Amino acid sequence: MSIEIKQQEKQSNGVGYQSAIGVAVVTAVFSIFIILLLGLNVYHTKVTDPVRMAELEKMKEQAKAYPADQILAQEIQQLDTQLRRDQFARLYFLERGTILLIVTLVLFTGSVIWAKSHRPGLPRPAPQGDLKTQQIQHASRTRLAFIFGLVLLCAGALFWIMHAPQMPAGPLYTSMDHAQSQWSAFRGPGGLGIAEFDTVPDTWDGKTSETILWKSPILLPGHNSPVVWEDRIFLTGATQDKQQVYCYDTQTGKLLWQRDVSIPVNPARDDMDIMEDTGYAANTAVTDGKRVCAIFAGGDVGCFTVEGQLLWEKHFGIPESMYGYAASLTWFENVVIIQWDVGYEGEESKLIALDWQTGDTVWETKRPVPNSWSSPTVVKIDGQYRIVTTASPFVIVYDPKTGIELYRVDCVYGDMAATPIVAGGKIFTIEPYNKLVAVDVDESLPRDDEQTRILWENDSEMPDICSPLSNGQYIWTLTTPGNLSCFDITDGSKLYTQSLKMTFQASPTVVGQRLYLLSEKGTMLLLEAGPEYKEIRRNELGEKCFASPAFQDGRVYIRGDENLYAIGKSE
Amino acid sequence: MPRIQRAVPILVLWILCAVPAFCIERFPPPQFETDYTLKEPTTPMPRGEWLQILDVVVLVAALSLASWLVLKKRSRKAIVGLMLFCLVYFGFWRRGCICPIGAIGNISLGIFNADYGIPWVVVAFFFLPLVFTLFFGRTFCAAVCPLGAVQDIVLLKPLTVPHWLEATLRLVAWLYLSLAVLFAATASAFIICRYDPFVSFFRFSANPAMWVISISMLVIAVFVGRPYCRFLCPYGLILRQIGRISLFRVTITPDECIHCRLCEDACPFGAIDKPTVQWPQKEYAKGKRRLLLLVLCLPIFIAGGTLLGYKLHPRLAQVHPDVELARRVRLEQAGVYKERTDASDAFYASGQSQEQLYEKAAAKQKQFAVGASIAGGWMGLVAGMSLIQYSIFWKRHEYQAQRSGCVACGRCYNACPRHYIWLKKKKTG
Repeated sequence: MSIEIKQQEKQSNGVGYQSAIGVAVVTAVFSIFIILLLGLNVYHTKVTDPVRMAELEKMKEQAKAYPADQILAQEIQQLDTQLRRDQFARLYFLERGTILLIVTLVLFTGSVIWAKSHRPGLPRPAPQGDLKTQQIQHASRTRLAFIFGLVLLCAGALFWIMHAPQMPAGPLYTSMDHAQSQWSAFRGPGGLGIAEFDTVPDTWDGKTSETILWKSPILLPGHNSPVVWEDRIFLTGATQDKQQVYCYDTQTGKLLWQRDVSIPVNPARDDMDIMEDTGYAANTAVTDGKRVCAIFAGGDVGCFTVEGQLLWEKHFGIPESMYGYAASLTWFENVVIIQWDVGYEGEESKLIALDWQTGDTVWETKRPVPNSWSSPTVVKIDGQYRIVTTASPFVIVYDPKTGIELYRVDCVYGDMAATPIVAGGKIFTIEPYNKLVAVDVDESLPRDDEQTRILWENDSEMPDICSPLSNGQYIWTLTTPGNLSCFDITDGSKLYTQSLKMTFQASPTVVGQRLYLLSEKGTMLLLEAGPEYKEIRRNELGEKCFASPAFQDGRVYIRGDENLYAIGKSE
Repeated sequence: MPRIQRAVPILVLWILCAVPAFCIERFPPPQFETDYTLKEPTTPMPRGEWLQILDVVVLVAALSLASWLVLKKRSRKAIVGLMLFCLVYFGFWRRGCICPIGAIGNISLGIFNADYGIPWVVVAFFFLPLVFTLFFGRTFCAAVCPLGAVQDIVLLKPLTVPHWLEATLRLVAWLYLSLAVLFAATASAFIICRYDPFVSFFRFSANPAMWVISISMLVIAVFVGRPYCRFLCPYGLILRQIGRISLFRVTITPDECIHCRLCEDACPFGAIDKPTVQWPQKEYAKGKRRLLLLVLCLPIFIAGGTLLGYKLHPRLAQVHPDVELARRVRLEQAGVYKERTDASDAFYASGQSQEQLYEKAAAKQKQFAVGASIAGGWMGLVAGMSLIQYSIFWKRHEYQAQRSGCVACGRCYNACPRHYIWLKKKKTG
């Protein structure tokens, strides 16, 4: 009797029976389908392929008779390939199909056995019990379980919230496009000496403090230029024993912070060849608005946040440099770029890219040049940022992302101090005292024929320190003894030379239609940026100046021998 | 045991059928080999216009036939037949694409993104089952959906899922639907398609993780009736709500319920409601107070959900490629990640500035802040409404197929003695 009940219970599962029947039907249909396909496969192998094989053999016989018949050979090859392809496809299908067939047949048999042993009988509903209590319990359980699930879900969400990663509020590194509105490196954007601001003061007087907003003392000497990012000015100063980075407030001139860059113990420092005109801090610092990085004549690099927190230091060792290492830094997105041109044989020089944040070397490229004093510039050429450098005898252009040299031109010799500029699709570089050279920036030109890149040269009196300047139409050069020359950018023809009768070390700047020339004595000459010499006015600062000025909208920042000046109208 | 003994020769005989297929002579090794392996696409190729029209025609025909079979013919066998056809057509032949479930992503993206043009066939696939459900109940789930068909076929040993567990697990489906709409609307991802557990079978290809999910789901479906449809399917949720107001619906009995209780356990999906008895007055009054309290708490549920959604938005936003790339680039720049990914490599090579990337990521995050808040609020509303639903006393006088939960599979027909009488009457005219 009990066996009978058990049997009935076992058989009562109608769903299992139905499902088993379903599986049996599906697997049977599927098996038949596979068998048909396999049969078709065998038919092709046994009937179709031999015919094609015979055809192939016939063609091969023909080919023996006509060995030079290329078309026939090609046809044989095609048919042979096709036959092999088909054969492998059939073998593949055969293997997979057989496995599939076995699996489905096993499933079919299993489901038939299952269905037979689970044929459904009539359901036997259990006694109902107290329906009222059941209903109340049922609803109560559902609510409780639902609330429990809800609480679990919320707890999961809260856990997830607590462990949510911090999303970037902004970029860690500044893009070059953003930097175009700032004076972040030597001579401003692209190192071009062009201040694209609407209002820049043109009148001031250091004696009467007219238009001088503030004047702040600089603790240590240096010929480097100030760099400006929004409300902060950065510059450096150094002596043989101390080297510092300074941060000033643009509004008040208050020294916000000063930080030392350490000097490693090195006896060679006492024997460094540092000219008085160069000093220990001729190299202009760089900032990307988040950090400031400075290098000194002793090869020591320090990087700080704009708040003055030290990020890293790096010491390259005392550079072998005839007048003292003076190249300014430049930067590109996530790297600070150092033109480390040292030594006399051209074997130690290199271009180095250090990570802004960590100081790690991102890339390093050897340079076949001796020591130089020129600075690298990062400038946009044909939509791509490029590093332009010059050192005897080459102008070399690099990719700032990788440091790969793109092209070089053998065109200038001597002790290179002037920084090259890019204007009107040309690179302009100066051979000290001798000539101005225009180089084509077209990267599609052959690399092995360097001379095709030289568009024109003008043998003329050229500066040894001051960098050239262009507004895209004319190019101006300014020698240390004060000879200002103007050339046509298209063919290099000289338009005028004017003796200014004063000495210059600061590189000139173009602001709108005016040239700003800062003499060693602190006189700022304002000239018309045209093909003829025309002086507009002179502003006296009353303090010696060696550094190129920095510009901001409505402001000029001039580093004097001892003080930093902010010139502009008070807001 | 004797049955197995009888089955063995049959099995051997079947297997022997395959043996001749091995008798193919081997070919010599090929002379023209290359290292190149032709990649096969993992998603179905675009189809011609006429094939798309054919798909829609087949869908309409299948829906019409399914409705007729479910409501008029009342034949489980015929429903299974149609289900197998749809499994082959929409599943294996059409490789599971496009399907109305995945179309939720396209529709959401189309609504919230003016630049995205929704293909007409997607619109048709999304709305046609909804329209049919509005009139005839969930006949799409019954016989047309290939995902439902796979689960229906493998259901061998159905276990009863208690109502309290089913109600709680359905929260997962609501969450899935909310996230699917959010990610699609923000053009982040089509998660329904990406994590479709059965498409691996239809396409015979998936990554290892998806194979594990697919096979697990299939194994679960052997014991739990249609687990995907009941606890995950976002489209099923929409159909459930429309099914509540459908014009016609599945009835267990063709005419009257005789309370024989034979159908009580006939539904493996727990979609048969028993008749109710009058609750005690005391319990009834308590229930009314509870209901009032829950209705008053509904705004709190919505507000809480909105707040939770808002707080979760930075996490959720990471699903969007731009936001994830921005995070990756930032961490690479900070030196946290020493190596670059393909995506960050591509970004650096593109010449795009970091500012642009961060701006894009920030804009997307703003979208997520709004979207996640709405999704959270919606989840709060769902939770509140569900609790209200579980606190209402529903009067029923007979055994009924649930309007929302019934997938119209037709299993309950055969459990009803009135059905057999009806069939007999029909035969005899």
